[in-house]
Amino acid sequence: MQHNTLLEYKRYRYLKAALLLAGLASVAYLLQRPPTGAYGGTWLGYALGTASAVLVVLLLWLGVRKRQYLGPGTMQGWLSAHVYLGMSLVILATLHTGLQFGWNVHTLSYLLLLAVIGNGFYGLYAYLRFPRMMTENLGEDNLDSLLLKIADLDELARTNALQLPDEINQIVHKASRETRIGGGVIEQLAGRQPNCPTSEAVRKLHYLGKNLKGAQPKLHRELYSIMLRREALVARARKDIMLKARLEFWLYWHIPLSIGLLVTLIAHVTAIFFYW
Amino acid sequence: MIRCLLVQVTRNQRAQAIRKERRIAGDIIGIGRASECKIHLLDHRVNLHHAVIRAEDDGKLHIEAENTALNINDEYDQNAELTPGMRILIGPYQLIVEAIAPGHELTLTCELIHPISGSSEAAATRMPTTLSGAGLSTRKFALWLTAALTLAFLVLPIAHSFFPALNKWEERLPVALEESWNAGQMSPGHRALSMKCETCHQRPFTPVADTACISCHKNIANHIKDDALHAKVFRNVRCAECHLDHRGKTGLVRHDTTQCVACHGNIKARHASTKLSNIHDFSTDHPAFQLTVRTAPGDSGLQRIRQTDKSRLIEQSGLKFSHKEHLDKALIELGAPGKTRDIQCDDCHKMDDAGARFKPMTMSMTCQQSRCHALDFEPKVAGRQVPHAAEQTVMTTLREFYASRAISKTYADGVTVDDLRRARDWASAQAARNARLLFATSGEGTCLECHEVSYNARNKEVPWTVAPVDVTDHWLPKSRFPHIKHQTAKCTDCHKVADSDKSTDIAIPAISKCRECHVGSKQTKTQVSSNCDTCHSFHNANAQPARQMAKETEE
Amino acid sequence: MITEHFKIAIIGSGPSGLSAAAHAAELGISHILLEAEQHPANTITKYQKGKLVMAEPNALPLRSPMSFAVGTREKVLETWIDELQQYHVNLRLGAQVASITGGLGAFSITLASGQALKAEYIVLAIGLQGNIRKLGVSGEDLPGVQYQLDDPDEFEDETIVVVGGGDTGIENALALMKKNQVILINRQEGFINCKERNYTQLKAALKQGEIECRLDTGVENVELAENEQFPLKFVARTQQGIERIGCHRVIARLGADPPRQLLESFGVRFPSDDPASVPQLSASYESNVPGLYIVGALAGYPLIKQAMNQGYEAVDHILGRPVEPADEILLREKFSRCQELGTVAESLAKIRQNVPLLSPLSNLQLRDFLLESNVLAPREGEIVFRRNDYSTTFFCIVAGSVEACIHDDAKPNFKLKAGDFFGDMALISGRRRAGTIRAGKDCLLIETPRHYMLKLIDSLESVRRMIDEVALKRAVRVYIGLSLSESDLNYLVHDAKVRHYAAGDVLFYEGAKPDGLYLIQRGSVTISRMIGGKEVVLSYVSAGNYVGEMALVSGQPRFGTVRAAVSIEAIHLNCDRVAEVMARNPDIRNEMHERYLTHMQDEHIGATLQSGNDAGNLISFLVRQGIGEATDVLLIDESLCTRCNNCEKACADTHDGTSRLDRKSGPTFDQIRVPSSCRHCEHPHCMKDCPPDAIRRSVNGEVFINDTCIGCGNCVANCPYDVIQLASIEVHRKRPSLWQWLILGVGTEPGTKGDLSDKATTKLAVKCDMCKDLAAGPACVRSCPTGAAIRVGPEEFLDYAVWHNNKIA
Repeated sequence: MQHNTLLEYKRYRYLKAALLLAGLASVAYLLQRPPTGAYGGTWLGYALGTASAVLVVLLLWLGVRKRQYLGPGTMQGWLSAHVYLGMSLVILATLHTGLQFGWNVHTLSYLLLLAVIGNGFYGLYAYLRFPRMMTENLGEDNLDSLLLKIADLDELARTNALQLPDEINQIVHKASRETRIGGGVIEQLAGRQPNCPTSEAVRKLHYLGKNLKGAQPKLHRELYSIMLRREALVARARKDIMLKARLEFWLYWHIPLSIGLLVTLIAHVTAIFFYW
Repeated sequence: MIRCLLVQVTRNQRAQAIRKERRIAGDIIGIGRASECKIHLLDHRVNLHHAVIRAEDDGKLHIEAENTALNINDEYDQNAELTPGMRILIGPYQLIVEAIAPGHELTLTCELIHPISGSSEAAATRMPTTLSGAGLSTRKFALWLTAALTLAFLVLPIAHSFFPALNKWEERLPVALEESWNAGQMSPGHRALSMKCETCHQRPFTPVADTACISCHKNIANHIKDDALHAKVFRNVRCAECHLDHRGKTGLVRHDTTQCVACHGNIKARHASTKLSNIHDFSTDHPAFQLTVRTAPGDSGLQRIRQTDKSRLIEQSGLKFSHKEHLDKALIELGAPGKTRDIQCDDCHKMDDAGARFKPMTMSMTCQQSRCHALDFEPKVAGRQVPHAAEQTVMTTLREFYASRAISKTYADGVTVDDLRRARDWASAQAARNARLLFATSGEGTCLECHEVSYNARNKEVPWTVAPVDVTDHWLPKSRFPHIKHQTAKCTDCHKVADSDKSTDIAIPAISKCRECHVGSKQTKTQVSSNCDTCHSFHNANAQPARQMAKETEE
Repeated sequence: MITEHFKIAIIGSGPSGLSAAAHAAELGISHILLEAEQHPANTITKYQKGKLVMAEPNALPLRSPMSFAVGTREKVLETWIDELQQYHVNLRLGAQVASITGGLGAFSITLASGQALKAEYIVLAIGLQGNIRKLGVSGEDLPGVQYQLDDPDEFEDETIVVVGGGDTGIENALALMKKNQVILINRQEGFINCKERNYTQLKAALKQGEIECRLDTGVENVELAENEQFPLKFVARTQQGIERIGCHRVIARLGADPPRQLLESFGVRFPSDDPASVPQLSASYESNVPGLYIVGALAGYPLIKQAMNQGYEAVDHILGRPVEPADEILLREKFSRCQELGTVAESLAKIRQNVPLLSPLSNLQLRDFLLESNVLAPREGEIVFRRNDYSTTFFCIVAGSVEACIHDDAKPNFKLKAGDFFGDMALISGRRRAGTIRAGKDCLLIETPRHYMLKLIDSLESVRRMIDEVALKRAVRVYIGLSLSESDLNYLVHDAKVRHYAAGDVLFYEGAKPDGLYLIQRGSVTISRMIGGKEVVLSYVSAGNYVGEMALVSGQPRFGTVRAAVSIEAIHLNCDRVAEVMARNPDIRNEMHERYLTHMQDEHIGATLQSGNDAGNLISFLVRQGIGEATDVLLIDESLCTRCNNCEKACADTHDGTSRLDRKSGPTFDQIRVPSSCRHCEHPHCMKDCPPDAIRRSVNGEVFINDTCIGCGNCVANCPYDVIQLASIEVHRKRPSLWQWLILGVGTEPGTKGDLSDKATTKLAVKCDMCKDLAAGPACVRSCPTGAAIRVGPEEFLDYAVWHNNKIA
């Protein structure tokens, strides 16, 4: 029993398939010399076109299969196929165009295809890279537990600050109120908050430690360590959100674009046969 | 010394108040976060020292703010006397001054009215932590994109072809609605039609029909002369199969042989009774040329004969001619004996303006230039000629000439009838004699030099008849051969006439000659690739052997 | 004044009383049901609010006009009160009986109100709650000192002292702790007589500090306090001395005694002076006072269903109607399959005499036993069960014989005759069947479910002993060598002992002098060595194997330290005897040598594995995560997992919208996470205390909950890996439409729980069933896009660890 990445799935079964497909297509393309010059309209052009269209639909079907939990085959198999066949599609589609481009829906759908696949490549990279980083960042925790810990620290910090001068009290309060973890898309992707109140608090506490009396210095020291821990936790939480965001962000393009691709593809085919 | 009964009010789930009483006493009663405060309110929203209650000189109890003003009965004040029912906000706490309990100077209830609800605190951390939480949605994006693309690239283009009404409005747009459907640049000839798709694509989902083409391209010749057969053979072949547009400059006319070979590669399959043989490529199985040759006078005498069929390749043009004599310097004398001149092909064969073939040759333009073949008579009068025209005309010329000579003689005294009779007899005698010299005797400048002449005594007026001449000037009417493109070669490279001394010889080169330079559709390093349409055109049903009788022009 | 006259007077409207009265009513007998309180079924009325009322024993049919099924307190009472009306039961509330005089046919009952009435027969069903044990100290009746708890939610922010370490006491404490500060006072220094479930919950609560506890503590007295904060002061006598606990309330749950004085005043005699003892009765529940029948808790039948049956039967006895035990029909039905047994009575007798194991059972127990069991009459040659089946039932041979084939179904290794039993190894190890059993000529078997067998073993020492002996011998034979001669076998097991070890206990230490061979009968052990000054797990040995043979073969001191990965049961065989037997049987020696080498190999692999990553000791991590007792574990490789949650969604979608696994929770080690998802333990903790016995193990080993679950939540409490949850299951759930959601976002996403607020839902326990009903296998694994989720069995996981290690090394 082993863990295999979706690339290694079943000893690269779909890599082989994809290579075979692309290979056949290329050979055929090089061998045939259409009197009219290569373009989508030659018999090979039609063949490649049909093949590509079928592939596109197949790849899109992943989205459906992913949610048909009783569907055929394993998801890993589907995704593996999705990746490799997607790659081969670059070649098939390009050969289909015969490098005849223009300002029309036909070229548009080709460009969309390239966009989707290119984006997919990033996705693959993200899938292979970020998960490990996320685990390394979180370890045993998960985001919720981090947030809870932070909340606890807030509680601690606040009670601690109660005995301390109002100034410090303010800082702590501010830190717990205005520190942003997550937030807007940009914030999530960036994974940091410009002049984050928590770090600010840590910085300020550093020099606000002077002329405290009685039990206060001790409290201050504790408070300081609390805020330090808080800062660390906040950083981790943000990193997790960032990684998660970066792990997902591409999908918010991949899916709509591929739907768009489907539409233009339909337009493309319609156009071809509407004006036969 | 202020003795105060402090009632701490907390509420359980059912919001019922639970009162816990505490007695506190002191000269002043501090209120704040600091532990030394008598009323010790542990909340970060309370200041370390928030306020203090002390007895004024008049013994009345006052509350004084330590620094920031206090919210007392919803008004802000630094200092106020404590009166029953008074509400004072200390951070999240509300102090209410109540009726004084026995043994006390002051009774206060203290309730936390703004507890730190977990939610409000969590609010800070409860930002969206996922992209979907932050409002991104693949679905929304996808749906919008779908809508936009569908409209732009499906709805509008289709609308264009179903609602002609749109066109008017469309003209005002920078781009036509179905612009985006245009698969590629139109051929130059059709540019005018781009964005008028419906002129060619008349019905949706049906291939472009020939009617569309023919509506402009009228009187395009068929491929086969026999209309019925043409219709049969090309029943389901559309113009558009050879003529592809949207391919830029190239493509509209196809020059490749595939389509031709499709039929001619196995021509019987198309038309069982044809006499044509199969052709796949010029270089391999193109048959020998077929020449259109005059084998006898009259229409039936005009025949197509393969060059391989040597025995029948004899032209009966009715002319006596020897290229040899004309090209062999030794034999050509001009005027005085021994004075010779060499003749080049193009002295006689003048290329036509198309540069394809040669102008027809005539007596006056060709043979009589620089007085070769002058038709002289009556040596006494130098340079006197008969026209190269019909026999009757020649006779008339002679008679008139001699008649005029006879009557222009000078007499001493008056003219007698005998004189006139003598003159007439002389004149007719002279005419007859010279006619005989022209028609019936061979030699320089006589008819017999180039023509066959027959004699018929019964015909008193003109007993001689010159046989008609019909020289072929287009041997391969079903193909085209632009001589001008072959000027680099000498005429004699292809046309072997140096030794031809008979006019029946035919000097059209055989296909092998062409193949020395021309290969078929396959390009080679040393040779010219040539497809079917290099020599043949498809729409050539009407191509005919264009024959022109060498017409004598009257002078 | 005219005194009313009835044929039957039923005193006490508890379950038994109600049942009796209702039966009398339906038969149209003149009767009266006397209830001291203002409502019937006082005891149950005083149950904790919403308490689930169990209907044990399950197999026993209810015999009463009153219906009764598992349900909440409220539900049960409601139905009863309806049915009282329905049967026109002559119920008189607030009628406390002061005295009973007279005898059979002419009892006269005087009520506290002074009112008197006459009855021919009396059915006494007053139960025990009539006189609850009080604190018995000064202040026991102070306001705020109470002896029952109706609604725990009515107290908030109070300090409450709960007295009594019994189930009720603990249940109250647990219920109260949510909103109050609870101090639990227990006379004993431990909680001996309480349900396991309550104990585990209490332990947790104490650990969390949600409940304070004073063990070995008595009550001095309770006094009113001046301090306005606490109205009461509870004075406790602890080992450290007197402690004064300020509190708002004292709740004492000290159980109850039979109302002895009262009964004796009726003339009822008691066998002993023990205050807990109950009056002695005839088979027809008649007391020594003719005509006075006693039923229910007072008659020593604490279970509601039994009590109700008794009430019914008592009435029948009175009327002289033939009464046969309630389960007679069922038993007859069971025996009908094999005529030769004859009537129920005969068959019981035959079984008793044929099967020594069952002879010590009392008649009632045997009946109960048979109710739970099946009687099988397999054809000759029929397979009873196969090797590696995951069935865990236990078989007794009543007649005929069976053949046991350990290695090869063709070659029977030994024969079992009438009186023998089998299935004991699976019973003990909880693992797959060690061999195949084929029925012999006209053989007759009794098949008993595991949970019931365990109950029996616990309750009857003799049964335990008998099983252990045979099982031990059998284990030795199967594990060590089938070729052993009977004499050798006896010689070996002569002083063999079954030893129990808690998780983490050491069987023997590295370098120790070999003391013998250990057959792991249940659970599993890890073999570890000191490497670089720290103990490193090298290998793992599961039940059905033995450890300690290495030293035995080599004669060296112990090669490694062997620890119990979970609580285990091992048979210890004496060194010398094993050595001797080995000497006598070369093939045994060879086999053992074989084992020796393979162990060497494993441990070598293990050792290299450690050198791979110093920190990483994947095996010991996995063992800590309970692989030791698992039969199948879900592992997620975090370095592949893209957190898409498709596993959970798949699980939810294929299991009524609730995911049985929680990807996020569960410990991670070296990128490997063990999510909280069922391990399908060899001895599922969840099965321990399941009232409807709804948790079963399928033949392929999946532990699943069938639809008889009543949502009592015992399993949830019992599972140490908390992978079982109470989920509100939509009653008629239909799969959400995929396309509708996919395209329009309308409706619920497949694999997520929709909003159930407006739907009819019931809370039931749900857990992973490894998608046993899906041909394609577990949905979670199949729908993991990146292949991060895999399932690993104990056999594979050593290899897995090695593979994983090489990968990262």
